[in-house]
Amino acid sequence: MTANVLLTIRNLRTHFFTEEGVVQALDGVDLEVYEKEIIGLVGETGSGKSVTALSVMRLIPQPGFIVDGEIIFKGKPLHLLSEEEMRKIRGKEITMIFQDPMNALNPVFTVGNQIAETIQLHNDVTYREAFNQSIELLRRLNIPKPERIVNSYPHELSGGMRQRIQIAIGLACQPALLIADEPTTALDATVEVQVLELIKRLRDEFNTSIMLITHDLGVIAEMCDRVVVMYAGNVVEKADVKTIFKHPLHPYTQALLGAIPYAERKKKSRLTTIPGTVPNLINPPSGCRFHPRCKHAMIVCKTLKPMLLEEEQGHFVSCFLYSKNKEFAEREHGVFEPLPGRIVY
Amino acid sequence: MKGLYAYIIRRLILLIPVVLGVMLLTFILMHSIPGNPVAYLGGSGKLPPDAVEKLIKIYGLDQPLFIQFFLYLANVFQGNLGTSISVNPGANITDLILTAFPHTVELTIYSSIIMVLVGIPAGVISAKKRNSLTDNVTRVGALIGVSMPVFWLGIMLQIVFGVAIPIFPLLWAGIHEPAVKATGIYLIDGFLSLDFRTIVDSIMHYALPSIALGALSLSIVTRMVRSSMLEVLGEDYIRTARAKGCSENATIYRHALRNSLLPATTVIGLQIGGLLGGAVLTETVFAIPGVGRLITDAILKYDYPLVMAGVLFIAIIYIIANLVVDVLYAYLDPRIRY
Repeated sequence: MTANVLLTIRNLRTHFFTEEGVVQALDGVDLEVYEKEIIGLVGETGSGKSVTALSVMRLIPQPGFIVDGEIIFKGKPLHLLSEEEMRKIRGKEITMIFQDPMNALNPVFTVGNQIAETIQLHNDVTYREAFNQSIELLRRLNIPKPERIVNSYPHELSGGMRQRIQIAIGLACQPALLIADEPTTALDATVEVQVLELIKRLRDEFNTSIMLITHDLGVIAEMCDRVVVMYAGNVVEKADVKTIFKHPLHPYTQALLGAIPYAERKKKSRLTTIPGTVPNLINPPSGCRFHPRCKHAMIVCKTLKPMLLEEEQGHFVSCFLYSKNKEFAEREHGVFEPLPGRIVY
Repeated sequence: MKGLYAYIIRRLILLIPVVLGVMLLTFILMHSIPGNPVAYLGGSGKLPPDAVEKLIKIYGLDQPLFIQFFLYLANVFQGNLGTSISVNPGANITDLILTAFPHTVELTIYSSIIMVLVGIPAGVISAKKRNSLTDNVTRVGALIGVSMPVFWLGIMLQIVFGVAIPIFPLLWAGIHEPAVKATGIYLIDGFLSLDFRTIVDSIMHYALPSIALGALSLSIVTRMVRSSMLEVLGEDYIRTARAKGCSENATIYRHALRNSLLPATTVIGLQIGGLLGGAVLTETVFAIPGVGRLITDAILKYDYPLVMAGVLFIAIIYIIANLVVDVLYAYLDPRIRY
């Protein structure tokens, strides 16, 4: 991919200062989004996918703060912008749609009103013009009977239609980046396909880059150009979608792929599970955060944190099993042996 | 819309059984109290014994209770609420209530203005600046407001703003009579006859009683708006509004306020309904001849027909206030349709 970089996130750390302690939700996230690409963020619940997206939007709920790192969007450092400057970017250049279509729209306004509001916030048009533009927009999204839909209230529409309306709100100002946080998790399988098709079409029609957050690897395989695998606030592996599925490097990615059921699986091969649970991020494991659940864990994994290094062309992995981190660990640490007393699966 | 009218009519029909129930209950309760209105009049020694007997016959108090009740019902359904026995002997009860009601309405208008114009903004600001100094001051203020007895606050206001710093008149009496007396409500009649003096008089005379009376409702509304606002601010659509690029104020006043006013509407409507039923303590402290005082007076003097009429009146007002709230609800929340 030789396209231009649209968004760069470097060493992003977002922590939540709760009464029980500091939740280190993001622990140095590195990723970039290219123009006109669909990038998938995948990981278990609590891996930091949504917090990454909300950090980009600068909408992290209290008591969360970006404590370190940078977010560069079209050359602008988003993490340094004032609330006022950020507001002009939200909804116009970067938009976000959320998982639950039931509650994501305001119940007391018509959907046309809610789309028009976004247009009016960022363009100097009258309400009437904005409203007509929303009808046009719905028509462009192939939504049937847009004149009727705009006068409906959210509760009068189906979940899939509400999700399309959310997408319309997201696209109202033709943003450069659309972040979709599990957009189809709450939908039926058939509706899910339609909504995903719609999102895919948008990239070509609106030239929008899309950051798709999901824990569904099937959706990733179907939709994305590149994949970022996250675990406990870290990016563990990052590559284009074919490489991730054909040739995963990180033990976590391999385990994740091993846990997908599919029809052609041989009769005797069983679905694998990943032992243990997502760690508590107030007191995360030392070194590599995945080491307590990793079947390849070594002493070094407990003491040192691996870096996200390019192992092959465009394929980044953060694991001591691979050459660059391995060399680094041997040079700095001197020891390299399996962690004693562990069960080998 | 058609459904709404049908709903209103249905609700008004439901009024009938409620009213019958209220009347029966009041009748039984009133007659369970030892004594009767004629005995009350006779007890003052002004009536010779034969007059007492005559009066008992005239008012039908010697009849069996159920006959008395049905005779009363028959009168009520012909629009005749009867005459007062002991409060204002011989006076038409409809007239008595219609004279007292405007004063209660006027007090309600002022108290509701205080309740809505102070209560809603206070609740919103308190929620917006959660856990700040402003929020804590508002919360403590609201707590004091709900716990303070109305009569005590009324007397304190009289002492401070009527005696120590004599800005406001102590009692209700003495409002300049306007030329036009269409409603009996001084504020409105003042505007109708363009009588500036009456308007100012009305505001001055009602200031202390409406603050005393409004403090409680105000505190209830503030707490209600604050809590529902906090709940709404955690909703997903508020995050959507922010993600669209709405400013903090647009998010709060456009997206959150209308949703958080839904539960507050119920409270405000019922408070107004309650206020219209008369505020006995406030009316007593400030000597306002309103409905509340009329009815307590009637109870103390065993004035059966007046008590019945008063309770009936309050019940109907309360039910109508409830109905208005329900209709407003449909207007505020498109999810509710009748």
